[in-house]
Amino acid sequence: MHVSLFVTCLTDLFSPQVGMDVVRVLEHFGCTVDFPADQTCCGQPQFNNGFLHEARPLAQRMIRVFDRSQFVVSPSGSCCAMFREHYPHLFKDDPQWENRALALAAKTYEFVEFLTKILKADLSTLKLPAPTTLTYHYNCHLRSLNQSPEICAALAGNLGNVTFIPLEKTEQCCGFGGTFASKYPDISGAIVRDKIEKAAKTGAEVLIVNDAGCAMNIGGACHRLGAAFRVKHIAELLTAAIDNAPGASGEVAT
Amino acid sequence: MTAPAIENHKSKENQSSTRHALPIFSSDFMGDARRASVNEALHAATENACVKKDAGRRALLPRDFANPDGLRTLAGNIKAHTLDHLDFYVEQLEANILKNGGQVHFAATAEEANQLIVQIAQQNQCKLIVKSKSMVSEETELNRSLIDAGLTPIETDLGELIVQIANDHPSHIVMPVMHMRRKQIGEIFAKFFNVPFTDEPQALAEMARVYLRDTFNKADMGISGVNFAVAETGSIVICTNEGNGRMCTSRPRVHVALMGMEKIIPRFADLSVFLKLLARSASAATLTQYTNIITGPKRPGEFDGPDQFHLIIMDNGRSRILASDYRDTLRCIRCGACLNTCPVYRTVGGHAYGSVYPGPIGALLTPLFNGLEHHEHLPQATSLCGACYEACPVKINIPEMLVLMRRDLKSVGKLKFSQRVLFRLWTIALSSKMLYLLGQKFQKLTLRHAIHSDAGWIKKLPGPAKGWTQARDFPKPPAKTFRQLWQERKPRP
Amino acid sequence: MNPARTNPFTNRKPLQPGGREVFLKRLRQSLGHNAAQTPPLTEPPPALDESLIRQCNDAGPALIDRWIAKAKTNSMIIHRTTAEPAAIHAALDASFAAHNPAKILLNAADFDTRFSLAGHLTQKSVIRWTEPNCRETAFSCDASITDCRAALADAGSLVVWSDASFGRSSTLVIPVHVILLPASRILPDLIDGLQFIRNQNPAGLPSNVVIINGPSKTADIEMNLITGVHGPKHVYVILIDGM
Repeated sequence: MHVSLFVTCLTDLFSPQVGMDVVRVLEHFGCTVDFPADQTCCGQPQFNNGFLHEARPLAQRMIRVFDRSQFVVSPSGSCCAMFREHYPHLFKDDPQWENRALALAAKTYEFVEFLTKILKADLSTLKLPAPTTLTYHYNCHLRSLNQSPEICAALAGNLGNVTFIPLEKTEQCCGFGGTFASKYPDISGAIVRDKIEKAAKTGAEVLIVNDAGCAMNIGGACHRLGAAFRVKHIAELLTAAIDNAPGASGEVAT
Repeated sequence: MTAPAIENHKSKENQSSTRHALPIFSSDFMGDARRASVNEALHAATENACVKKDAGRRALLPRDFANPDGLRTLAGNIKAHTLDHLDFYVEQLEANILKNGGQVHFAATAEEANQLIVQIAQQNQCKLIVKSKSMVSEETELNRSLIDAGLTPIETDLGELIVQIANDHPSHIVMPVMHMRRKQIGEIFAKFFNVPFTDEPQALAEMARVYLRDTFNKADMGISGVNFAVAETGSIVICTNEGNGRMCTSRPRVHVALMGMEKIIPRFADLSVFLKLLARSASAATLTQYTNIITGPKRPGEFDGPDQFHLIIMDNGRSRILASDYRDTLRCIRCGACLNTCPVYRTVGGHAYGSVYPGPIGALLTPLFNGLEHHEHLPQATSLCGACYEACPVKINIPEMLVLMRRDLKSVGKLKFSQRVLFRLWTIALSSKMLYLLGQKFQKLTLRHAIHSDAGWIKKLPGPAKGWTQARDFPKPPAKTFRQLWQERKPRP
Repeated sequence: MNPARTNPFTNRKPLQPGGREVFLKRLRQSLGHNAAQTPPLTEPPPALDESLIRQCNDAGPALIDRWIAKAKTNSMIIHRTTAEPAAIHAALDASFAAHNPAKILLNAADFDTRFSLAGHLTQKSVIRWTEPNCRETAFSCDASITDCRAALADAGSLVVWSDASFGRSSTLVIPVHVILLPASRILPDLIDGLQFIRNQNPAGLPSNVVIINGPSKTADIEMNLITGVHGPKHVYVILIDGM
């Protein structure tokens, strides 16, 4: 399968290794991956803040960039939701662009969704290098992608050398919300502290966070509060498992 | 136990004649939210109540229905249809109520609704009034008008009674005293009933029961809200657990029901949809203990029931909402599911929203009723997580409307020029690959060499971003972006 | 066909009072309709797809057993009997055992006659509904015995409605409520219950229908469950087989 990577502006700048790990995993399961370099940002900040007029040209840009892609895969649920949920709405008064937006929406997948639903990847032989306790934070935007918390939890839990501990209130938002985190720091701070408290309560070494915004928010708060666990994208764990497999070739993470 | 006097329930901001459509009891959202977000006791209470109800809803719907999502879609569609034809259904409801011996009154504003009720009381020599829970009566501040007219209203819903005695405000539309501890309630009751202190809930409920039982027996008028009004049969439906709703609508000789005009549903059979969704969404129960379907006053031959039934149908700004992009907010059946699931509500509680309707739906309704310029924070103080939309039994797309309301900030002059400029520039920077790459270079330069930082994390950001670092650190971007790593990739074999 | 929507924040003309005509005119205009007259419906309300509404976990146990299971989770206490006076009397005694009521309100005329209920309660003071002042006396009764119109198995509920011989207060104001329920009156689902209410009242709904789902309760104080706030605290159902 030919997959175009929609890396997202946050991942591009702040967690580039996650992008590389996504590529690694997709290639491991037989995909050819390209990266359309003209992509910039999906326009989520503009859209969320009510700047619909400004969001539209950014959407049009992305629609053009991925025009010839067969599959578009993103490591971030929220950016995926922009393509799937909001782009068609942005053009509801413009049938031509609405159709193009619907076409993009139809071929866009979040990373875990793509692995499980489209690739139907067999992860049964994957094993982490060392025994690890994991828990999982559910990114809110997976709601609109119809992905339940159980999907990634099951994926992570079934990896070898993993003890999976469910996170209490995993489905509650981490408090990022884009500009919300900066504009309403008291509320956002209280919400992320609650998330960290619940994660710490599990005793897990790693908290899986599959969205760049969530990761920056939770990771940043972890560092401020001195939390014991680390925040990782599922792609990082899968890459570690793939590299751990006997006879694994492939690139070593930098 | 004779009825002690209950103090007048005043709101802080609405003493003047030019009242807002909704009473505001606080306009300091930022301050209230800040204080609430560090209030451990409030947090514990909210977790205890909200998380339980939310979990119950999420367990019951798939347990009992083959396709809960389909059921919610049906409920949403019935409501949407009703709103699209609300004039038709209002007239049908009126005709059928009249046919059954009831009376219908139309109120443009909160004040008019209150005055209509005062007039009905005066025309019928009603002095002692028992009230069962009605959000709309809080919206209109009905009690204040009744007291000003020399009448005595007594709240009979236990939570509302506590609020009334304490001269406080409800913090949740279904659980009004979610914010109070039993010790607090015990103290309030000990003082009011002039009895020794106890904080044992059953004992406190018994005090209220004895007090109110006497009141039910003596009351001249009962005022209720309306959960659903069935146009086809001219019936109103009241869902309660305590039995006070039945008492208020059966014992006194005059029954007045007050309702926002959006509470209508077309057919009697539609109740199967809404009753099944309401209790499961509101209180993780299959039905409330009592579903009371009232069609007019008592009939010839009956001697148990009111002589008169009056329905007040109120607008108070709903017509304006109907004509706007926010029509869907009128689908709301006041279940409170969105409150229970909202991370912001769970953090700040109900009072921080400052008015009668808190939570996600309140974040929309309060500005819609009162004007966005008075409540600019409400549509912005949300992470747009969408939990409310997922919880809503009538599928109100609350996040979408919060975004539209953020769009509308400009129209009421609440969009700072600096914001507009920032977003314009930001959009330009994303409109070409060259500018985007330049932007990345700039961010790496400034962030990697930020002053207040240590080993990969920034402790303090300037300007509009300083709120971020108030609560957490900000990561420094790594030396190479994804694009750079991608370009450096060894070619695939 | 929807007219263009208006901004509700800038379009803020004060609402003029003026009774029915002004109200309806404003409502019609907000929907983009002719202000002078409400148009007929352009489409019917959405069809009610029963497969979405009917409770799904209903296959399997018999209707009666389903109702009993649900009613029990609703804190109703069930005494199952045959349609024999002696059995019914025993069930009444069992229901009253914990409460020893002195004064009982009786509102189940047919059952009283058929099973001589009052005859069995000679040790008690029995007030029959429709006696003078029974509405006031009800308040001082310790228990009531009523029948009911139907029962609904999906939620474990009971349906009552008022008429010239059946009161509202008899199922409401007394702390102990005993309900006589012939098994044949059990219906599967609320959908059927609502249909039953319509069918039984072809000339129009009664003034007051109540679907009872258990004893009166509240959790307003710190989510503590308290029963018997205003309505009955104890609900007993005498479920009569073969009737």
